[in-house]
Amino acid sequence: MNKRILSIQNLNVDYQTSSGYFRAVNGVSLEINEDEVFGIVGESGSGKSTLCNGFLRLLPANSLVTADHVDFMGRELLEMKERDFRHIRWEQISYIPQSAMNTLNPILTIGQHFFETIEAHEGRKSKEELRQRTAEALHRVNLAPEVAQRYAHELSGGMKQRVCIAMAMLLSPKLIVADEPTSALDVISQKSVLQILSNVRTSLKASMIMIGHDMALQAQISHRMGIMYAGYFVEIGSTADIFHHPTHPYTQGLIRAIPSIRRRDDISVLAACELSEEERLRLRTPRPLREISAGHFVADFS
Amino acid sequence: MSWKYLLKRLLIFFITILVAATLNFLVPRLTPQDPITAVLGAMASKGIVLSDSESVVQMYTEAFGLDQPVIVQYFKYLGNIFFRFDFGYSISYYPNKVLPIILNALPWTMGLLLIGNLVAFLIGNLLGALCAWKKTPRFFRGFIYVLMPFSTIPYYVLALLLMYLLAILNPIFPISGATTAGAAGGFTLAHLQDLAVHAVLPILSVALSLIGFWALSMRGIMSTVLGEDYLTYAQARGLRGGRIFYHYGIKNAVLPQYTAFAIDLGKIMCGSVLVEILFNYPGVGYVLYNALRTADYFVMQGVIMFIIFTVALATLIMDLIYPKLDPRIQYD
Repeated sequence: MNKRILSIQNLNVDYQTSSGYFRAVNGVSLEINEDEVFGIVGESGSGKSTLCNGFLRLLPANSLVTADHVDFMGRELLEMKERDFRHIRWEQISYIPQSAMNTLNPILTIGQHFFETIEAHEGRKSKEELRQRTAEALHRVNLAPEVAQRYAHELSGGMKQRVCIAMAMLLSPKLIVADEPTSALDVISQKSVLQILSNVRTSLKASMIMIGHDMALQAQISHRMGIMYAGYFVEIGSTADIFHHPTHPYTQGLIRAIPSIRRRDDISVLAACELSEEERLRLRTPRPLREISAGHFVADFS
Repeated sequence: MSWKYLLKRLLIFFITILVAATLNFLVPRLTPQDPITAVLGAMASKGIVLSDSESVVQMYTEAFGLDQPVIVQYFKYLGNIFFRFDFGYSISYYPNKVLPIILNALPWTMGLLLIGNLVAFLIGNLLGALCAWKKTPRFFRGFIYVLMPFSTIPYYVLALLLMYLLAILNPIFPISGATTAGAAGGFTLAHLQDLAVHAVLPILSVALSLIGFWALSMRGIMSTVLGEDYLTYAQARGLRGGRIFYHYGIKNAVLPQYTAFAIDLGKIMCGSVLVEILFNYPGVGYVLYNALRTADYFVMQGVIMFIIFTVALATLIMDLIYPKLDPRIQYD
């Protein structure tokens, strides 16, 4: 049995709006094991990014995160002081943003981003050591050391995403949260970036939470998957279980909606896989998960 | 930045100066006032009556070259400023030349304006940034509302207010002048202290009126910058709050402020006239005021030329260092 590194129990995220509270994540429980890739799939607005930003404590001030517990290697994340949590960030849990378009400071060089990250966690270092480690990190994602002298606006989208991957691995974290790391890229860069991400993660033996909306892409990289809808998990299981025995109607719809390259379906056929409007409305109320076979959980949908 | 751009930018700089110099030459000559008669009138009002005024007018007209055709005067004028930095003689302070009059006044104005503006820029931007920063205590954020009224009061009114409060009601600071009359100069501590005490109120009236303006615009820009993805990413990487505030927040938010600062220098130069007059401060503004009163063409032209030169130079410098401040700006 693998060692568990992250355990989330009954996590809620509420946003304060002018018309009261809006619950974006509703009673989510989740466990991540060592050296495991867990894929979270769901449509836009299903709460997958909010869930992760919630336990990473990156949400704006108008949000409220509550949970029975968020246990990361024996430490309670939500109750730590920001001063202590700063050291969990990046040293233990790093993060790859959705689109690297605007995630790098336009007035700092790529290298300065690496330097400041190292020095924020390990104190002052010699210029030589900083340069050395930055070059190594860039090398891992197939980027030349000269990239360190460039500014974000001088790099392509794929290069920036690789910079973010190199950054995420910089301090050898135990857990990486990747929020749709390839969704802003074209299909070809997507493949190479995913390949690099997967290789580097394997070499570090880090666990990873991979958020995405692309079922096919997730199938390539995830060991286990969770399908999110309206702020809760409707189905959690091994990737094999999810693809071979999809049980929840929403999961079944998602899998049917994957376009095939061999068969030409009319767009209306693919659209018909979607749940009906009444069905969607009915499913908005969260249901508890039931274990239907070992490690395969499905929310009640009758 | 390429050499081609640098040359092009310098050329624009010189053309600006040339056009400004031309206008500066033409406009005073379009006024109906005749400087020589004005001087004689002023003398007459003081009881000095010249017996042979016709020949005096003749003599002065020749001395200042006013008898020559306008076009000749124009080219002489251009040649004198561009090649000899010579702005001619002051009419009211004859035989003093214009340049030394301006150069004597210059340090006072530069000191007053540079310090006043820099203080306002630094404090204003810092306050504005702090007001947008989430971790700033609430009572401190309210501080901006205290400064707001000052930015709506014109600074000559503010100057009068400060004068009344801090020089008349509570005589902490001297009411006017740049030094105590008859004080010994030189680089002694007492003299420097005397200079500083005299500069406080003029600087304060310039700075106070500007702080609110800078703070207000900085607060707006800063709150936009704080919503950028790179701030969240910096926080996710566990950077210290202070580093995020300065290197991610302020340094990005202040970029448009630099441009505003360079452009404002022009307005500031002209606006300081009133402050200098109110405080009887011997700066360029004071010289300009006296020149206007006595229709002293050459001093007027000298001062205006000087202001144009300063503004053009400030924007040139800003243009050239901007790529250093914001690497996204590239000239080619």
